[in-house]
Amino acid sequence: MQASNSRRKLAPTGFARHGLLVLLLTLLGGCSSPLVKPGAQTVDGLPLSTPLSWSDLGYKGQRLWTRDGVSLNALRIYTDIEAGEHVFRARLRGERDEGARFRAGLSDVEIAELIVEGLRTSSLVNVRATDLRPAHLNGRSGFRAELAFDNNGGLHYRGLVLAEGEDGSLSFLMYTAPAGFYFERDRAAVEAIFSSLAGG
Amino acid sequence: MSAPVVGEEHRARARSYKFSESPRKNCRSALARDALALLRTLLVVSCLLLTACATPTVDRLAPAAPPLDAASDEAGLIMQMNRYEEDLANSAALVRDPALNRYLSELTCKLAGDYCPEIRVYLVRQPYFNAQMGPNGMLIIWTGLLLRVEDEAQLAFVIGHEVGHYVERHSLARWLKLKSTSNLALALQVLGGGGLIGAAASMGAYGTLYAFGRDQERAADDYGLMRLRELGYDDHRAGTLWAAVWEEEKVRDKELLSSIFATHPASEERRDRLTQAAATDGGTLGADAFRAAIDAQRDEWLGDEISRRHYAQTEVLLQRLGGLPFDAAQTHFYRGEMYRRRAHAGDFELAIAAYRDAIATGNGVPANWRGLGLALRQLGRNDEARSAFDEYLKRAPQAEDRALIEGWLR
Amino acid sequence: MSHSVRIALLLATLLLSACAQTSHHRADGVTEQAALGRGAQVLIVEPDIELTELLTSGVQQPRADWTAAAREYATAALDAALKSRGAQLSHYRVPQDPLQKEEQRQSILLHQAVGTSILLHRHFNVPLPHKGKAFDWTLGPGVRKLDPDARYALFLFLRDSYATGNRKAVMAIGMVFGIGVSLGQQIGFASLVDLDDGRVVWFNLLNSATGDMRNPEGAAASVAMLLDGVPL
Repeated sequence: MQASNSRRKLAPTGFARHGLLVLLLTLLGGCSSPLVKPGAQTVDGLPLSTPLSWSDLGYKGQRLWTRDGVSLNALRIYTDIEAGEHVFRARLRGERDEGARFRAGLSDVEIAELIVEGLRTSSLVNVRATDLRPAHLNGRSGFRAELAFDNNGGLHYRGLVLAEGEDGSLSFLMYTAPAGFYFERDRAAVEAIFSSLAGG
Repeated sequence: MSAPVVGEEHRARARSYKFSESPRKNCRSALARDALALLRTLLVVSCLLLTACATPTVDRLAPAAPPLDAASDEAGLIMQMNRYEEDLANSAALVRDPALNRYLSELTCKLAGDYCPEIRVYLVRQPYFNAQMGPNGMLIIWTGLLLRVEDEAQLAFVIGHEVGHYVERHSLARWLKLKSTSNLALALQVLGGGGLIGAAASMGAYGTLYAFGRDQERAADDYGLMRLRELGYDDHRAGTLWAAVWEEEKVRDKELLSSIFATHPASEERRDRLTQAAATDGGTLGADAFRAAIDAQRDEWLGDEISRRHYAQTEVLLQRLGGLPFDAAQTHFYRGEMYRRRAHAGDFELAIAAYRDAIATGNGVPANWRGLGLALRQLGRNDEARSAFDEYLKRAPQAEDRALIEGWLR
Repeated sequence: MSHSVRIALLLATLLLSACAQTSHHRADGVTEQAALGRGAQVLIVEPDIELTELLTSGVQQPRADWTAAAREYATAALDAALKSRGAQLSHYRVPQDPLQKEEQRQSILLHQAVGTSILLHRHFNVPLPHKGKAFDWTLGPGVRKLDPDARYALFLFLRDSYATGNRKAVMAIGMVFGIGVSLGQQIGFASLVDLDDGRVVWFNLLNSATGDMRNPEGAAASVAMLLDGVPL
C-alpha cells in the first residue's frame, strides 16, 4: 500500500540522486567513461597517484571512480565546493541555508558532521564517522575519517574520507564499499591515493 | 469493468477533424465543424469519465474474514504487501527496542478491538510525520511522528485512524478506482491524436497509487474519534495534535521537498474539523505512559530531526517541545545543536545559551560541552572554548573526534 | 527504493523485442560444457518471482495466485533441470540463529549489489573501460557462509506480466495510430556463484515477450531459457 508507494517518496538527495542521474545520462547518451590509468595525474586540480586503474562515471568537480560498479566500490572526488552549495552538490531549491550545505569557516569537526548528515539524508541508515584524525589534502590541513552505514536494503558499508575546507571552499575524497569483502580488498590502494595527496 | 474499446468511427471523425482545412478559409462552417467534433469527442470521453469517476463501493472488512480468492484483486495487493513486510522485518531502519514495540503493540491491539489479531505494528526510523496501514494489516509508524506526539490519546487517534482505513478497506477501494481512472487515462491517450486532449491530460489522471482521497481520510478520522471515545480517551487531543503539526507545516519552504508529512498533509481545514468534532469532557491523556515508552529513543530521534537541517520547522517543533514537561535538558541541548548549525547572525550566542541551559538543568551528556566549545570557537572566544573542550574530552575519553580537538588545545 | 523495484526499473528500460533474448556471460576459464554440476552440490536460493496482470489501462495488477503457482512450477523445473545435469540439490533455508541469519542475509544482499552492477555494466553498456571485455565479478569468499557443503549457489530473479484480451486489442489499434502500447514482458536473470571463492561463474539475462509461467510446461520453458548456457 502506501508503504512502498507513498505519495511523498523521500527524494534521493546528494549522491543517491547523482547516481541515478549518472545512470540516466549514460543510458541515454551512451557516453563513454574515461579510463583512469595507474600513476600520477592531476584530477580537477588535485595532484594524486593511483596504484590501480579505475573507470570514471562522474564529471568535473564530482568524480565517481569505480572498479566493479558504484554499489561495490566508489571513490568520489569533490573539488572546490563553495559556500551555500550542498555537500554532495545536490540541487536544492528553496532557502539558501537549509539542508546539508557547506558554509565558509567550518572547522574539520563540523565538516565531518556535515558529511555524516548529508549521508543520512540520502536515505542511508546508521551513519557514523569514527577515528577522525588530522591529515593533509593538497598541502592544506584537513582531516581523515572512517565511515560506516547501511544502505536502505540493509547491506553494511564502510568508507574512508579525506577532506579539507578551512580556506573557504571544500574539497574531499570519499571511498565507500560493502563491508564484507570489497572494502578491505581495495583499502590499501585508496590509502595510497590519500597518501599521495598529502603533500600537494 | 474495463473501458469499452473506442470504435473506429469515432476515431475516424476525430482524425478528419485534425486534418480539416484552415479555419480562416471558411470561418463559420469551420467553427461549426470544430464544435461538432468537440462535442462528439466530449461525448465519448464523458462515457468513460462517468464509469471512471464512480468510486467503487467496497464492503467493510469483517473480523477474522475467510481467506481470499487467490485470483481476486485484493489477494494480489496483499501478496505484494506481504513481500514488502518481509523486507521491512529485515530492514536496517526498523526500531527493535522491545519495550517500545510492546507498548505500541498493546496500544494498537486495544484500538483495533476485534481486529487485533490481524494487525502488526512496525516502527521505522525516519524523521517525518507518517503512519500507514497496508491492506494486509501491516501498520507502519515513523519515528518522526512519535517525536511530535505529546501523549497516548494523540497516538491513539493516529492508530485508530489507520485501523479505520484497514477496516473500511480503503486500499482496495483506491486500487479499484485507480484501475478505472487508468482506463480514462488510456482512453484520453488513444483519443488524443487530435491535439485537443493530449498526453499531458492523461498524466493527471494517474496520481499516486495508494494515496487516499479526502472522503476516505475523513472517514478514517471519524473512526479514530469514535475509538478514542469508546476507550475513554480525551478526544480533544486529535485536534490539538493537528493544530501542533500544522504550525510546523506552515513554515515549510514550499520550494523544498521538506514537508514532514509523507501521506497525511496537514491542513487548517482538518485541524478545524477535528477541533470542532471534540465532544468528550474529561477522558484519559496517558501522557506519563507515553513519555515513559519513548524515553530511551527520544534522544536519537531528536538527533535525526537536527540532521535534516530544515531549521524553520525544527525551530517550531523544539519551541513546542520545550514548553512541555518532557526532558527539558534534552530539548535545550538540541536547540543548541540546531542554532549552531543554522549560524544566522546571533545564532552562536543563542546556541551557547541553550547549551548552558541544558547543563544547568542537569544534562550531563558530553556533547553539550562539545557543542558549547564549537560555538564559542566560531565566535573567537577561544579561552572559553578551550575549557568547554577540556570538559568534553574528560567526559568522553573515547570520543571519535578527540584527535582533532586535542590538536586545537595544544 | 526497494531492491526489487530498482531491479525491475532497470530491467524495464530494456528495449522491447518480439523474440526471446537471452544474453549470458561466463567467467574466464569456464566453458559452457564445463558440466560443473556433475557430482557437485548446488544450493538454490529461493527464486524471486512475481507475476502481474497487465490491464487494458497499462496498470499492472499483482496476482497472488499466478505468483504462487509460478514459484511452485519454477522450483520444480529448476530441480528437474539441475538433476538431469547430475547435480545434487539443496534449497536455501533462512537459519534460526540470529547471527547466522544476519551473516547470510549480508551475502544475499551483496549478491543483489553484484547482480545490479553486472546488469548495468554488461547489459546496459555503461562502460567500465578499465575492465575491458573481462567478465570478472565476485562476492568474495565470505559467501561460503551461505552453506558449508554446497559448491555452487544458483540465484534467480523473474518478473512477468500477462496482457488481457482487451489490452491486445488496444495494442492493435494503437499501432495503427502510431501510439506505442506495451504488451506484457518477461524479464529476469540468473546467476551461478562458486561458493569456494565467491566468483560469479555464469550470469544470464532473459528478456522475452513470450513465455507463460502460469502452467508447468510454460514454467519449464522459461526456466530452460533462464538456464541457457549454464555451465552445470
